Amino acid sequence: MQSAIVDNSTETRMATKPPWTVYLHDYITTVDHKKIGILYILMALVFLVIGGVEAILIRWQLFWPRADIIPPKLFNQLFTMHGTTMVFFVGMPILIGLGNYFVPLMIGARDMAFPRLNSLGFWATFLGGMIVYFSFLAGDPPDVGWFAYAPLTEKTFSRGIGTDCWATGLLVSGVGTIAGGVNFIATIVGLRAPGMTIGKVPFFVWTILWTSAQIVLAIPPLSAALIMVLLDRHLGAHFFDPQTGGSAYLWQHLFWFFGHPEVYILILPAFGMISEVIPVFSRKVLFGYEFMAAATMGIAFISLGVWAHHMFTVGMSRPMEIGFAASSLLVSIPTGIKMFNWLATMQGGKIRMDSPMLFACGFLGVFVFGGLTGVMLAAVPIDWQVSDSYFVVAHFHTVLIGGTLFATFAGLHYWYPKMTGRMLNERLAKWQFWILLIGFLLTFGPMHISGILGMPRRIYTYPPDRGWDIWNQVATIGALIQAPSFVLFLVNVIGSRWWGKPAGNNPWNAWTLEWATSSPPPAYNFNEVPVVRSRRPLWDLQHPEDPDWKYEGEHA
Amino acid sequence: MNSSHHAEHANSLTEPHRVGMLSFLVSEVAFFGTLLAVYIAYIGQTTTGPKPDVLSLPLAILGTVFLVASSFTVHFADHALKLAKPFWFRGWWLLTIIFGAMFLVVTAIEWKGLIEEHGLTIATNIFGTTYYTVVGFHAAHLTVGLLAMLIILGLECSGQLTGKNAIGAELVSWYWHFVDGVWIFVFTIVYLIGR
Amino acid sequence: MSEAKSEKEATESRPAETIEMPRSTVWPLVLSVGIALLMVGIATNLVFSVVGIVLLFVGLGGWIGELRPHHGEERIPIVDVPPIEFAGPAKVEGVRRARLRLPTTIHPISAGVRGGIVGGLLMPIPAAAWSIWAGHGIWYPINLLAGLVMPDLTDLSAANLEQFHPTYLVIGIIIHVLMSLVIGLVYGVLLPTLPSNNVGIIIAGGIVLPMIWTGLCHGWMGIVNPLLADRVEWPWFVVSQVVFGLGASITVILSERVSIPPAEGDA
Repeated sequence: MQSAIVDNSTETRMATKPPWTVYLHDYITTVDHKKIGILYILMALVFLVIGGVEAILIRWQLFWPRADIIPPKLFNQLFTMHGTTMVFFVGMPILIGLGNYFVPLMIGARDMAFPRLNSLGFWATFLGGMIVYFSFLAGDPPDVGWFAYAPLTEKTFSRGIGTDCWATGLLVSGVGTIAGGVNFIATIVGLRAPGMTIGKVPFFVWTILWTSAQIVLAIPPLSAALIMVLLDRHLGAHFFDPQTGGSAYLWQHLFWFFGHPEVYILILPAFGMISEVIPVFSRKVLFGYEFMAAATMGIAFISLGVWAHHMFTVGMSRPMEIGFAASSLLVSIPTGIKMFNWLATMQGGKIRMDSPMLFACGFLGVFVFGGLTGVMLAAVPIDWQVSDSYFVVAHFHTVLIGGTLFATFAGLHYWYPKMTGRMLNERLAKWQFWILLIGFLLTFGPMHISGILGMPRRIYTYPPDRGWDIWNQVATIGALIQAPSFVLFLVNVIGSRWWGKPAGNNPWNAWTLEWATSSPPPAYNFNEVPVVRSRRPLWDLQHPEDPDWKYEGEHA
Repeated sequence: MNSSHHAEHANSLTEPHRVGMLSFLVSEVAFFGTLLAVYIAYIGQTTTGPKPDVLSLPLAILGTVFLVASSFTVHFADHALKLAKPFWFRGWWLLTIIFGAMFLVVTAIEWKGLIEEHGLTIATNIFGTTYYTVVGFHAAHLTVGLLAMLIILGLECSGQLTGKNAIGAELVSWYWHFVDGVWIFVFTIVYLIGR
Repeated sequence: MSEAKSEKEATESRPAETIEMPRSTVWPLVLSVGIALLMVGIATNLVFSVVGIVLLFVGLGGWIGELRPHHGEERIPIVDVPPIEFAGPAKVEGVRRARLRLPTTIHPISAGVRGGIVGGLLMPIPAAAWSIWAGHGIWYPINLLAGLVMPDLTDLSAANLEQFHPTYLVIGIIIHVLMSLVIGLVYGVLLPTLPSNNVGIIIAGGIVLPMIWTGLCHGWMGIVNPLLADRVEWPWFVVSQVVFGLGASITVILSERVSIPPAEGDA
């Protein structure tokens, strides 16, 4: 970080603090994977605030039955933008950002395989978000829902600019995401430190590898489908127009062929971070690394064959229904393997409840809950009953917040010292965790009930006589409780940057290579490329009399 | 790309540039797979306007011959470059570019006929929509390939296709083989099965 | 790559005081602005697209310029990295006994898969024998198997089910092969947890696992495909499963045990 600011022209310039424009120029033109990672994370945090405000507005409108705080069209625009923002401009960027920062460090490389492509990847993702939000400036945000079912996206039904901004923005950010995926694969396959075979990579790296494989396989079909929407809208093509021979049903297949792997794109790196945090804070090796690795692969492959479980209510043939229900249920097996392995890792360990571990434990509890409702929804009859209700909304928020968000917080609290050289404030972090957990349970617990009581998703208001009021009111109060926890996090992240305790290079006494260099690391990461013999290279350094490689076997 | 100890796998498949190109091509397979799946789903769904029988099989075969030939020439060019025979490299590479351009000319002639004689555009019916999308995206990829080849040729002629750049020609040739492979599928599905 | 070689390389590269890293560049940003404007033009006015294409080519040209030898890199001076600390705020030592691995020798997982193949080959024999003896003909069991995923089959009459259907034959074979392999794999994975003597393996593989499997099928088939459940004769189902299990177990016993790297210096 320092080296690029240092200008070799004069010594005096080093003494005075360079103007902020120097930092800005430095970050805009950077090809350093660490700075690009930070750019991704900052972008995601900004969009997290925007998407969060949208969520609060949605909940506010739903507090009273028959409320008219927000007009129906704006309500549709809010939930469309909330979904799109959270999936494409918060979830993926923050995970790709953390991957960007830590994958090269964890495998002992000096940078990603293609540093310039990395820069392109970030800027395309960012500008994609800008294009989607440009629709607000143009006065017509998209109102078609985040999965934008045809024929709602046809010119006949969406006459304004909103759908165009949505489709083009996602196309541009898709270019960035694919660039990121390709870069990760090339980096992990090609740039590992000497001795680090593919079976010895840190688990987070392994999950990023399979997330990238899913990115490479699932984003292009979305791009193709978005192009078809644009062709329909601008050149009069007929892909999704049922009146002229097209098929609205086809869009659902194309979108969910992307959409379901997308869910696992968002969760696999979360699994990876949990698998880094739990061993370090239990002071044990990850239990069953090989099975965890196989389970990750299993999820990545199965996830490509489950998409039509989003379409049970469309009316498919029975063999399709049975097949997709079975494959969806199958996902619970590798996921269950992971859950038990994390618990087994903790069992018998010397557990330290620092903030990363706290979030990891929150993840374990909440994610099981969300996973179980997922198993319920995979069963066709239950899906018929509660599809498109608040039960589904509750389910996927539980897995995305309980899974991805909690795990990302675990990762951010774990790695913040490495990224800044300063510790986060533990007290603030613990307040943040408990407020978030309580607010989260209050928001999404009641949604399960209102969903079972029949409240459809995406309605902008509801009649008072259905028994839904109380559950909506509790959910809104929960959302209002959650909000300050994000403020606490931002305060902690910004404040600790200057006033946090100095971290040193290995504050958690961890075992992977990113802790073997200074915090923050120099531009080239390592003075000399480390040589690795086991999955815990720093353990080996610390315990030359009892190294891990004696146990793992050199054949791996 | 920037650490010396990776030089040792310069000739292996785990070399980062090769891995990167392969994963990019996998994403392209997913892209064209989607387009072709949609094309197949819509075969026989056309009710009004021109149907696939207006396509000219002889023209498509002519284009196919050009493309298959170009796959061979690009292979010879890459081989010549590895044997450090710049003259032969330039010759074969240029011939590949010409073959590729000829294919585009054939496509242009075919499209002109379809538009002027049969009144088939992307907006005419579902056949026009899917046909122009599939063939158009293939042609677009071919154009990008031609551009990449011209860049490589320029670098080579100015003596800059050396060191870490030397792999560029090989990667572009992989891309070219891929575009040719896609055409084989397009040809089979659009001109043989769908017609 | 051999480790000795890499270590040597690492020591050799130590005297270097600078490291070559890619230089900061604006061209990827220009290129992505080009792509973005190209797309914005579609939503708004094609003038933006024209500007976008121009920027795209400008960015591409600049980028290619960076790729020329000695253009896109700079040498960064090395600063000293402090030694790795093992005593941060958290000084808890790692737990060691968790790394112990038992048992020391096991049948390889591949033996389970091979067992699945052998069992899968043996299993049709009792099934076909029963079907012929009961007067259903040889195709009845395979049609029933296909019925697991083809619900329409339940609409067919018993007489029709006894006839040869090529589609169902293919589907039935696919199901059978997949199930044999998967169950073989599960069997292989479970192997280290089974009793290690041969009798134990035969009891576990030949009786216990087939009974568990039959129980699962008996319970679930009524839900997955109730009409089909009526047509399955459970005694013969059990016999087929036991034949599969015995075939798999014997294959496993015949396999060579492999040893796990021993846990040294630990208890």
